[in-house]
Amino acid sequence: MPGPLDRLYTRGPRTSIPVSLESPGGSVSGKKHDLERTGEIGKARFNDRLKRKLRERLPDIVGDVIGKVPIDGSGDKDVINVHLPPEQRPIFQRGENSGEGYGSGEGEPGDIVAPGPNGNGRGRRGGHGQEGDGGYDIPVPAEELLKMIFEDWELPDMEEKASGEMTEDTPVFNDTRKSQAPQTDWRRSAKRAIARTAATKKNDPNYEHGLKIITDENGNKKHVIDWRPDEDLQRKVWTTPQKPITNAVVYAMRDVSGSIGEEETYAANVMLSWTVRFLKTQYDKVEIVFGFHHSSAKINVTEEQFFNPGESGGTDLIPALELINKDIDRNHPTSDWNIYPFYVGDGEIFESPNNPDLVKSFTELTGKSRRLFYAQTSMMEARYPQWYGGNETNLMKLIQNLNDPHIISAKITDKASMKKGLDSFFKKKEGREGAVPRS
Amino acid sequence: MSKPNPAETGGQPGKLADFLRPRLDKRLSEKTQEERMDALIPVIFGIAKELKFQPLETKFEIAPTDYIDTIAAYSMPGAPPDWRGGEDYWKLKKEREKGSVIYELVVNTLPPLAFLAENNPDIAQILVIAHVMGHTDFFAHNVAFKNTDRYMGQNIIARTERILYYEEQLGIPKVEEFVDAANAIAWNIDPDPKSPINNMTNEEYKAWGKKRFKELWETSHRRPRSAYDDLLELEDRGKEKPVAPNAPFPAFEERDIMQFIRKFAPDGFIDESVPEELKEWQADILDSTRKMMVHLWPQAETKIMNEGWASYAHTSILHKMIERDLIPKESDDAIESSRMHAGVVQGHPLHPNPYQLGLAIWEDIARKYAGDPRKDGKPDRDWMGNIIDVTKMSKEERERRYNPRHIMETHRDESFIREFLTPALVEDLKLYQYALRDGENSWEGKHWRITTRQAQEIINGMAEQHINNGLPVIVVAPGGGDYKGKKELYLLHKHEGKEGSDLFLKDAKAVLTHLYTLWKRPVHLETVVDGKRYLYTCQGNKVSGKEIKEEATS
Repeated sequence: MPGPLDRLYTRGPRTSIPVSLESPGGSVSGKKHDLERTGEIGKARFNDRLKRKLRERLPDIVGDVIGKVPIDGSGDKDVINVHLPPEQRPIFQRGENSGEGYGSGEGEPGDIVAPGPNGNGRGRRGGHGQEGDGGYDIPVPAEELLKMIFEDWELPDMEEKASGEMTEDTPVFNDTRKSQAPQTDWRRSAKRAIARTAATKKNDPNYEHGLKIITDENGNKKHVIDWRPDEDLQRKVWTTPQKPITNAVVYAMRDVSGSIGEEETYAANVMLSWTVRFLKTQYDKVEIVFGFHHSSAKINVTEEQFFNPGESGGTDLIPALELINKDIDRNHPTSDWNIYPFYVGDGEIFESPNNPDLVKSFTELTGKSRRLFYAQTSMMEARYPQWYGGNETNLMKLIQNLNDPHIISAKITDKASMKKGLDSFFKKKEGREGAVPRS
Repeated sequence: MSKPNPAETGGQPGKLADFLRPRLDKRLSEKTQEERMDALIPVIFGIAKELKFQPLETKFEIAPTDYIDTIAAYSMPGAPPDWRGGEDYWKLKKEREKGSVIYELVVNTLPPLAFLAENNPDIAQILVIAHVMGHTDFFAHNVAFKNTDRYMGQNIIARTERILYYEEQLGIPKVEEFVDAANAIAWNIDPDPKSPINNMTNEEYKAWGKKRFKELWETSHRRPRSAYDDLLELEDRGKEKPVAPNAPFPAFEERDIMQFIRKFAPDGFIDESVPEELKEWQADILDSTRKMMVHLWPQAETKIMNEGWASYAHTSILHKMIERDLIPKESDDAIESSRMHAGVVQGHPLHPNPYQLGLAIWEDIARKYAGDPRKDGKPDRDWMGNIIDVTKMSKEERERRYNPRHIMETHRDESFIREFLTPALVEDLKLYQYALRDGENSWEGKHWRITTRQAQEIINGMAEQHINNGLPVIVVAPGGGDYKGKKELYLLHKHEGKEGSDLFLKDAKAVLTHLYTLWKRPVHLETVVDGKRYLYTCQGNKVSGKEIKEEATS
């Protein structure tokens, strides 16, 4: 639209400034666009996509997270940079790192204009010499990463025990009140409307069975509910009863014998610390009993001692098993407790897998447990199979001989296998098939 | 002396400025920027007209930078929110925080919309307005834009409402998956509305293919006409006339894959699993995605010309304003405008800068049109390398060859570069070609290196990069709509047989899975990898590739 000064230009004396007489050439307005949300909504959707991708990449990331998040939870507020490859927008296009590009500047033929792709460069046509792969470094608080990981886990196959201390908060819809959508309980509301109509319009010919009769243009009769929103609509209201359901105890036992080197200690620390973190964040009332063993065993050590054992010796499993069995009988009877032993070691025990004492105490323990988790640190074995001859360790042989579905074992060979192992222990399963409940 | 526009009338510089300036200054300084710009537009528009630009009446809006980023990311105002736009928006925002500025943004609708960033100084806005005048002139007159839908603004808003409705009814992931699939082949279109597949109904298209196929077959199997036809026909007497085989479907290569799928997907795009009023949602998304692409196609095709023309407009207009003392010479504003202009036309080591390249070519054309020799005295050469002397050329000849308006109306980037990017300009702009090459010595490694400064090679190479917008040509092969008689889709990559013509396979495979989502039956792609023919097949989520043995297919 012509501005207020338009007259000045268009009606002024003809001069060398040509002012278009037939049209002003456009107009300027200062529409306030600050409420425009499209960009932000799109960004939020893109973030959702990245989150989904982050979840897919968790197994790879976990290894890094493990190294960076301190066991005691002091680093939870720390931010971890997670690298994600770029979001794909595939179209048919020409190949990577081939063909020519054009630019301008100084230089002789043979001079470098951009560094080549050293493994990580994607260097596509139009993206020649781009640094990195164009992906994203996403800062994620360690806490959130842990939450994402732990959300999918549970202690499998837990049974309700009479003297349970754990509670479960389940919303129960057990009351209705008047209200508007979206919490409207339509079924109840409809019932109420029909009942009300039936009561008040008993003798009205336009009503039948508590429903209004309407006739459409074709003369067909239809029954409809005669709503009175302020009277009829019912809202769902929930309360959260707390009911005690169960008790659980985890026996975390680790091998601290001489055969456990630096790497194995690290791997065991990681596995155990993650299990402890998981139990502490997801369950309020799980008891964890810490213990370690070499040729003799200790139980009920503190968490700090447990993670910094500093002992060594031979490797006998029987003392450890007996100690746990005794502790279960004395402090955590199976009638009241779900028992979950968690053992980490390299599996190189001195007892033969056929040792009757070993078999006896091992089966006794598994008999008491809902599940027995065994994480075997086999980094060296995986790396140098020729030195280990492909033979299973004594403990693994024993477990294979027993073939008990309540024993879940995992071999730890690298960082990714840690997440895989923990997943195999704790990952929520759809339905409960495969689980063999203990009677 | 370089005259950008010889047709200009001269006038009486200074006189009006003397008359207007005190009033302008006094009155305008009290106003908001919005009102100042509104008052200035007729002046800029008038100068543009005087310089023989023919801009359209444009709606300018002063908008917050976030909004401008949004439009830049989504290409149009009112586009439906999606993750692609969100990612671009986020990247632009990050760039802006680092200090990059989008000076101008113009949308090709009627009236054209242009956005001025809030808080920019007046001189920046003037520069942008002048630049936009060039763009709207280009939109209105270049041949590539002849068929663009000027009511795209309204279309896109209607589209957004529909897509949001689908998302509300069907859930975002379901709609998003389909939009992703549609976007994967959005560049495989034929923007010409008169091409058979765009112009005909399904039956007409099939009938046209059959008829044309038969005609061509008969032409190629007919004896050449001669004076002895009557005798030769005696020989044919009693023999059966050879009959043309059945035409395959499609009868000829079809480059508009998107339209082909939309029209001939074996199961169609009626989604029975959703409520009645929604069942054509997939067809709608395909159509609207395609429409958007048809709208954006000419802009991709004329990027260098278009940006060059707009830069040419803003330099000419600002020169004139300074010459007329509307912007006082040697004032801060004049210096700032030169600084911004210099920033826009800076060369880039890895990409040709369309502003710089386009402007240089247009200025060269304008110089030749005016009949001036090059400043450095070097001879001009035509595209064959012959020396031409524009100073001795007749006016009619220059009009015929170098009228900028005529060139602007009739060329696209490919021909524009091939014809008007001269070896002298390549030298001026210090253009080079580069590629991934080993160094002379083994320890130097593989890097992006300058391969040549040879002008003709650069001109040809750059022009080639604009064929089909720099994308490989993929077509539905003849018979590819009903491959193996099982309604499978068979695509053919028209490989140019050069280094660098191979497809980027990771993407190509991903596109095939998207194509499977659309076609719902196996999809095949024939291409060439390292000189060998390969056939990639997508069945479900799996893409498998195998080499094609010559005997099997020939």
